[in-house]
Amino acid sequence: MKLNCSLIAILIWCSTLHAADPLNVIASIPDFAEIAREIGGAHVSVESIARGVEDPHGVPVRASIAAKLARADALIEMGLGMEHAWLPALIDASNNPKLRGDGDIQASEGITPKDVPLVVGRTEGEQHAEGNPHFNVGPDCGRTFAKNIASGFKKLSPKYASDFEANLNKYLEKLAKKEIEWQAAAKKLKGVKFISYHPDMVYFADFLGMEQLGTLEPKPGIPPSASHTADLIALMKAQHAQLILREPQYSDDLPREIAAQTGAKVVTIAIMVNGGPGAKTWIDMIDTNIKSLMGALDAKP
Amino acid sequence: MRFRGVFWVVIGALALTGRVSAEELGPQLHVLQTRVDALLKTVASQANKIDEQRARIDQQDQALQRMVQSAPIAPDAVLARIERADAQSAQAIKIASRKKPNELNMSIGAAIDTSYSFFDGPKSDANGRAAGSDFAVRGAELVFYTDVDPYFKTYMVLNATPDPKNNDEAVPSLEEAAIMTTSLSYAQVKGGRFFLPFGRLSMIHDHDLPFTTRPPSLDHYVGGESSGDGVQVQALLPISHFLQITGGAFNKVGAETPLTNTVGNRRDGNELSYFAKALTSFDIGTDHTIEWGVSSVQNPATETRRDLLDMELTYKWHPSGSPLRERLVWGTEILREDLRTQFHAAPAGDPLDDSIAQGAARRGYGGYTYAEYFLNRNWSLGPRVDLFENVDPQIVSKRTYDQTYTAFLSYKFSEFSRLRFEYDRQYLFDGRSANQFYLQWTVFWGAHTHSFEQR
Repeated sequence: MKLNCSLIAILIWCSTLHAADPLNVIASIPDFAEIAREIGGAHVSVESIARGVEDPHGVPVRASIAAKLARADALIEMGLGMEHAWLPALIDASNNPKLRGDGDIQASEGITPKDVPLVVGRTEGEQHAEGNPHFNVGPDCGRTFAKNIASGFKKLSPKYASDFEANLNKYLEKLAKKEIEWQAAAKKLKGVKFISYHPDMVYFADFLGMEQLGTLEPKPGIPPSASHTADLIALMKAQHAQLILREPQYSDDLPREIAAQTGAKVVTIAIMVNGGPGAKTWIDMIDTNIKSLMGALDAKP
Repeated sequence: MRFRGVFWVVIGALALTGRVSAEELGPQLHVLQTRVDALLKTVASQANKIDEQRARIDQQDQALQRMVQSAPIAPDAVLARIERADAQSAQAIKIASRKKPNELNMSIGAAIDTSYSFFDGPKSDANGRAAGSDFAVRGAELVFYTDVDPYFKTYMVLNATPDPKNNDEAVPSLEEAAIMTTSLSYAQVKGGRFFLPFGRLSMIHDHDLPFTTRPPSLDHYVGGESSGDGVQVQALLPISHFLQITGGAFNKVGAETPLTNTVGNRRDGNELSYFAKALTSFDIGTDHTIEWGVSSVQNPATETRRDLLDMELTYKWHPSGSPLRERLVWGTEILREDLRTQFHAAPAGDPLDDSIAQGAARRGYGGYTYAEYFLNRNWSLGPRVDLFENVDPQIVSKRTYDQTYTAFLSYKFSEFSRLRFEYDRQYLFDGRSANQFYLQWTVFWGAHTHSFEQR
């Protein structure tokens, strides 16, 4: 009898342990990991595959990540083909059927894709047929992927749904205040002409009303050629481009060379959380990026 | 309006009274009459202005009413409309990006691997081509893959490689055709014909290798790609550390390896090849990874026993945030093969009698090591050293080791096209030495994925 009681106690303790287990969540990029922690609170344990300084199209495939995915309850992906070169292989190796079902949280759900190509073909470079996947730098996109993350968590762990909802609302309130600040900043940046290395600034620039003249890559994923660079310099001079946005995963040699010829200023922009100084959270990243642009405009030549 | 009418009647009466008074009272009242007339004009002018203002107010009232009718009147209603618009646009996006019936067909990809090569040896190279230079399509590959249902996925690879002994005729052959489970936790069962993950590079198709030529030690011991018909189970242990265990049974291992006991294409259990592998990985800090694995193939048949062992070690340096995207891969495989073969040889004194089976058991060690340094996204280069001992009793060895020293340089135009130069200096078993170089041009098109094995 004593033994039975002990057994029951152990079983109850075990079941309590299981109930208290946080959801094991892996995010493809640190932006989603940070927001997932805000929304999930103590009910989730989150880790990011990318560290924030890599090229998001080519994050190194480490076997240790497959082991983590094998034990994950959920995977938060960007979608729109962003991770197609590295994430499917890891998911395959993980042998985790959860990641093909409810555990697959698509952050891009509900985002209106920009740059959806009218002509789909390899002649257009490494294009994404579903549209530009760099929505994570769009100041007005955070709201959507925060909701997607909360919705995924609610489906996987309905008993904590009210906590997730409350945390989401808290986060959205914080975001709403920030959006007002960003919109105020946008007045100063409206109409500012710029180029970037890769076409990853479209969501960011559209929010701020900035005008992108082109990219150093002649086509996505195709390295800059001499003739394309010369054309771009001529265009920048004619259009009085003020800024060159340089993403951390690309060398700044060519941007600086072009800056010297055009008078435009080079600004390094974080394209993921932890992608630069001050970009510790997603809100900080947007803040820092906007301040960097404004600082560059204010700086004397 | 009613007020205005009364006003005019009163004013009119006053004016009439004033005129009568003026006639009776004389000129002193004339000044007063003039003032009253002026006042009447001012009042009339003000009344017109009031009418105009009132008309404007009426117009603005109407406009306001129209706006009120057309616009939401409360913030809640505004938010509700935004929510509805969001939901509608999300639905529209879903509809626009929905799978169409023909999209349920398989994904198709292809690769063409072509080269110009030069070989200065006195005989032929490893592919049976005579000394000299030549253009050749090394392979044309067609890949189909798709999910079958919620439980399985499948793929098929057809490859055509020119045969120098048959006027370079390139006949497509079935290189791989495999079915895999997708719904098992921590494990995957795979069956059919496929390249089993023996070692590190044996399972990689020729055009996906880091160099143009497959390491000769792999060709000699494994027999080309690690192809076999059979079934394997691969499990990722449910622990925080990466430890992958694979086991399986096959009719043979090695694309060039002859089948044992081909009578009726059936084999006893001891004539099958049994495969086992363990692979683990360690991250050192954020930028370094070491992978280590051991693979074994056993064919227990007594007459053609084969015991093949492979140890692989790979070091990867992948600095996060390197603006040049430089990285390094250093890969090594060491193999040991114990091979017992049977072949027919004529007994002494009777060259026509080849009925006596000769047996030979030989053991050989070999392997390769290479490093590939990626200078940036486009350029990579590296050296390779390959050594192996002969285990084929029908090859007369004058050297202990067949040695090949290689240098390679690759340029990727994009993810889908690549140019590569490779130089090999060979010291072969028969005592010859030779120089060989390749200029390889490879393209991929259609659906293109990177497998975990190609990491």
